[in-house]
Amino acid sequence: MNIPPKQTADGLEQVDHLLREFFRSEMPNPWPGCPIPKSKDSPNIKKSKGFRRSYLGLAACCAFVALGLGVAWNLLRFDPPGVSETGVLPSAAKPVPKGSLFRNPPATLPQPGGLKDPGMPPQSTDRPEISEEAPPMPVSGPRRF
Amino acid sequence: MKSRPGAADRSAEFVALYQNLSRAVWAVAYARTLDAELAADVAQEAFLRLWREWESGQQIDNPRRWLLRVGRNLAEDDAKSAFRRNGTCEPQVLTGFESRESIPLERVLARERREQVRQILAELAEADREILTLRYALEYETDVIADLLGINPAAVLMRLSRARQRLAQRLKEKGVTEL
Repeated sequence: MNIPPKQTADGLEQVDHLLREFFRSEMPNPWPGCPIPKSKDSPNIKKSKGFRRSYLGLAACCAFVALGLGVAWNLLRFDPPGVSETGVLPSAAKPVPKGSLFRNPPATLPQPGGLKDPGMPPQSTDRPEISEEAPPMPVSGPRRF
Repeated sequence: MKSRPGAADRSAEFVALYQNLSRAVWAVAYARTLDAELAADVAQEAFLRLWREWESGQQIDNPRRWLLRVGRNLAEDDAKSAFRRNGTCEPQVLTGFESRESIPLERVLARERREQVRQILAELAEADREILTLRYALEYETDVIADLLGINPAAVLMRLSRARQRLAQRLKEKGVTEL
């Protein structure tokens, strides 16, 4: 352990003087003032306005959601104008009594041959015969992609 | 149970604490950074943090000890981040740019001396710098320093004496004898 050699009193006084001079030049002058932060407890009009505003916003949101739900419920209670999900055409659909929605058995889907209305007279079968042979397709070369 | 002080009481207590302790917080930060302006910023930040703690309802039993600890920690954190930024090199400074006006020789010499002292202080241990700053920058008495550092007055005198001797030795080695 290195023990520094004893300094004379004059030497240490010089050190004191040097250090005082050094630190005097280093100290901030003037000393910075106290940072005074704003207290949360102090009455603040803006804060109370914001508080009220947030409650109003929340109430408006609730009202908007309730209104949207009501509109959606009313829309679901009536038939859409086009083809319903069950595949029934509007002309074939029976009038649905109020309050019995989705309880009717679904009507028959249209057959592949088209709709057959029992009220219509039978169509004549006098059609020109069509050859069953398909016309020859033009022969083309190998496909190029 | 201690009742929570009102806003006015708290503000008054805060201002009083700042008047009593801001220099000590500056000193402990300065001992770590050797940068007077940065130490002043650290002191302000420490006090603002104390206020925020109060605002959040935290109970701080010993604000003085708390402030000194926060000041030390902030200064050390800044020193670490400065090291990351600059590595082992000093940050670039504008050297070689001098005013056209002639500077009196006295001022030039004084500035040179200050830089030498700063370099020597930087080579000392942090504890030495801390006690020297409290003693010579703030002119605090032994018992006040002992109270601030949480040690007994005899230990303060011992540390102070050794720090002065080490400093004197370095000054002599560097040839800084002229005052």
